Amino acid sequence: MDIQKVKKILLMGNPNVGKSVVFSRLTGANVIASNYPGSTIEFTKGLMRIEGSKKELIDVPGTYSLEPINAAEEVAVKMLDEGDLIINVIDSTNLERNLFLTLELLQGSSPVVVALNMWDEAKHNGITINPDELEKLLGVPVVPIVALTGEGIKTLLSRLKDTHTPTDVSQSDAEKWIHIGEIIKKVQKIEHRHHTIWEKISDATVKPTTGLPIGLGVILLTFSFIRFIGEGLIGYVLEPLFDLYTPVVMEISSAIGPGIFHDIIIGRLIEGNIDYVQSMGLLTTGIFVPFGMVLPYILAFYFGLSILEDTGYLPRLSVLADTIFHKFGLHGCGIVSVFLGLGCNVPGALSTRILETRKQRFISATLMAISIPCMAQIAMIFGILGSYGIEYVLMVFIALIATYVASGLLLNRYIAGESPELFLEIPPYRRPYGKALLKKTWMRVRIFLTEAIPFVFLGVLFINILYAVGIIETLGTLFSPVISGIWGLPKEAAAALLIGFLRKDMAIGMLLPLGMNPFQLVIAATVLTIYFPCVATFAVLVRELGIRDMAKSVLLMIAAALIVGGIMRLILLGF
Amino acid sequence: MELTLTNLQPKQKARILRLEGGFGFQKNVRSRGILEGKIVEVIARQPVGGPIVISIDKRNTAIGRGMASRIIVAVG
Repeated sequence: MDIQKVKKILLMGNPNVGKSVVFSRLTGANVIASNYPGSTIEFTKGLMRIEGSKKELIDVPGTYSLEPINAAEEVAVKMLDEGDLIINVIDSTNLERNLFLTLELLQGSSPVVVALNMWDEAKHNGITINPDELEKLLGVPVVPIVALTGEGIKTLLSRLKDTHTPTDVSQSDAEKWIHIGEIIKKVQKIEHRHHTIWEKISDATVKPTTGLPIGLGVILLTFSFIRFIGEGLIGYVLEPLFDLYTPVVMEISSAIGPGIFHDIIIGRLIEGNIDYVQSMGLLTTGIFVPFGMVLPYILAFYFGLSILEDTGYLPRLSVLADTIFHKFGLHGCGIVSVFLGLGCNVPGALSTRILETRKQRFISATLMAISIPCMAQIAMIFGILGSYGIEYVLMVFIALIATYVASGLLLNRYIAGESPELFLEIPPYRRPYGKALLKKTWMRVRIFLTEAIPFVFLGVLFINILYAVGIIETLGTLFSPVISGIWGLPKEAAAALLIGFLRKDMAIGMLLPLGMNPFQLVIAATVLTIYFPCVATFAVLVRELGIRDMAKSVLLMIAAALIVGGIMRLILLGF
Repeated sequence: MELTLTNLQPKQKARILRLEGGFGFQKNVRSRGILEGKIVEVIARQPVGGPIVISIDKRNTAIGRGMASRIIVAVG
């Protein structure tokens, strides 16, 4: 076919066959790839060059067939008509199952080229595939590749032109499976291999007797690792750096002299000194909160998460957690949005697309928005409560877990709709690839830096203006029946609740100057998590749930904040 | 002997005879490689009605008990 006429190329295939890695190879663009089905939930577009001309390459979410079973697969099927050419990525270690989608694609109207990915792993597992024979039987180019190392990618590109618009064949599903059986017999040989150590570990991590203790251990280890690295970076790297920075800011401060300009740039001096959390200036709090307090934890979290993702442990955790999540109207995959949400609620909200029904997606998104604090917020909770003792930090987490469980039980009861069972492929364990791990961590950290910092600056600016014109006072008085009456907090906490809509991490920092006791801080930190999502999460949730369901979800958040905050006040502060 | 997948215990192997259920269910299950004629081994059963982890062609899949009960197998 004439490759010059091709404008859009689609990357399609079963979930977790490495489409995103192929995409990165072909476009040079960076996308998040992981070792679990459904890590790409939305299509990603990029540009690539073939024989001097530019083509658009689209990384489509994985799908097992052209009959979608969840929102991510729906995206895939809708994309089908958009492409002029399809690169069908196949997992060579699992040829038979992958060929079903291939035959479905060959029934369509776009020309197809087959890329046999993970060729090295297949060889390693004793699987031999004859690509020339497969090419003859399918009637389209078949190219073995190893996307991770780039092997075969050049050949793949050079073979794109050898495909053609498929001839009209119509086969029923049953005929397809018979056809696949015949193909497999001719092209594939499997040598018997004994259980490898990884397979034994794989079995041990899904058996309840061994899997549950291992699961708890992995979670504890991950969070201790995050805390250890986070605190280490703050104590040994960032605090010394900011000690060097302080005299510079003090110079600027005295150069500017008092006034509103000083308040915005440097903020208020506390006893003649800069207080990085409380001063509320662009060059002080605006820099210190994102870099000095939050960034170290974000780095540590995403590194830890990337390891869990790339090894393939997350789906095992989904299996172990399935029974519990069914009580909340979800299934085991619900744990993915909890984990991603702990990093940032935005990808957490997007990941609800791997769930099959509207009920599941509503519950999963609402529960996350209500009770999963993002890592930026967690870092600040450690920052302001850690000095009083770890037990106060734990109180916040216990309250949030209890809220998640209680809301989940209620929502499952009262939200109409179906909660289908877990049906999840468990990929083999893979050794994380060091470079990919670091790259992925950096990509996510960069998203934090580029998207969070403007909001932090905006927040600092906003709060200074609001204080200057006296709006905070008015709001505080207006909402004091709730803030003081129900939650037992000083009415000035209204400012934090307002800023929480922009950035929750900053909002937590704003609690510090209010002179609250640690119990009040615990209540305020919990309420700040529950009452409303930040604007970035809010926007994504509106898109994912629709306005009506989002309105419902928001009412639930506000109700939960009132009830949970009220109960905590009774327990921690008394009447 | 004909059983459903839910009747199998860990380490037990069986051959898949047929799938009972609607078109959508059958298509969904087959597209994951759970096909008539395949040898299936149960790797683990999660407690209190949780999912079953099965292995076909060395590939593991977790499947809920409701779905598993509609997969008919033969042992021995």
